[in-house]
Amino acid sequence: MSELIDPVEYQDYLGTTETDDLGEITRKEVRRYARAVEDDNPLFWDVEYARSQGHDDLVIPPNMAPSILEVGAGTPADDLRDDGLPPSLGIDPEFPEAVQTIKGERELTFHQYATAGDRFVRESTFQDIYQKQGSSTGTLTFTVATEEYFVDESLISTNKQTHIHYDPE
Amino acid sequence: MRLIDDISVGDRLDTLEKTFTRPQLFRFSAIRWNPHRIHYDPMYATEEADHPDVLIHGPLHEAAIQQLLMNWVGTEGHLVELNCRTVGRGIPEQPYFVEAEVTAIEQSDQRIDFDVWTHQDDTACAEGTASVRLEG
Repeated sequence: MSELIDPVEYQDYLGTTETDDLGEITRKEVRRYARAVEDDNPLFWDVEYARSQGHDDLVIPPNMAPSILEVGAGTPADDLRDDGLPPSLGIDPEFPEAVQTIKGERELTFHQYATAGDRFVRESTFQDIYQKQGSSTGTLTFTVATEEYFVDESLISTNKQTHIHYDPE
Repeated sequence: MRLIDDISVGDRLDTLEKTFTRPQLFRFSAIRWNPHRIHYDPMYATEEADHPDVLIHGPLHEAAIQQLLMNWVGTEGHLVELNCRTVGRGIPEQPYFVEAEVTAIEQSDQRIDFDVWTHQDDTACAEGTASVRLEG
């Protein structure tokens, strides 16, 4: 049992769903994402090419929407944790300040491609919290959330996201 | 036209080689609106979080695998699944390699499954599975 996190305290939150409006993903954002990856796929860059391939506009890189961490303006800088992350990490109640968090496995399913100009809504459901004994890091706490991304109520992608939380001491 | 009959279990895709630079990691943090220090603050990453340097983001590993598979399938199909986890600490300014191997072919729905993984020299960075579906 970690001294910092007791999974029992989070049981009431299992199954709860939060809905967030990600807003529109624009052509500029698609191109900036592709630039950050240095991915020259013309589906991300050339509107006419994308349309010639049957898409309405530039294809949004499939893993782009699930990769956006803070969907609004973001947490005020004074309220960020020492590691820079926002305090809630999408989990309520919040974990103690000393807890370190890293991304675990992501299981992405792409039901269809979305295109620039589409407005995304995300529904995140807190699915599970459990602990394992790490070999060198003490007790590891795992949280699992399922995120569904919609455009006009049409399911675009699903992300089963695991986070791993540990006590750096 | 890429015919599913031309693909065999065990086929390896041509390796995609990239080098993620520090400005790229900064841009990726920015476009994700991700303020996590381990991706841009080398003092925090090394002294507080005990990493060798700032780290490549998990979704950036994923995006590199996505790039390999979307380039391979071209306009003849779609990426339909990508399951990925970070298994090692990828760092910027070092050659980075993206690999995929066919593990299964489902003729009925034109689906091809892959094992996917990334590495820097002998250091594994990310691994997982992925699937594409051909059209027609």
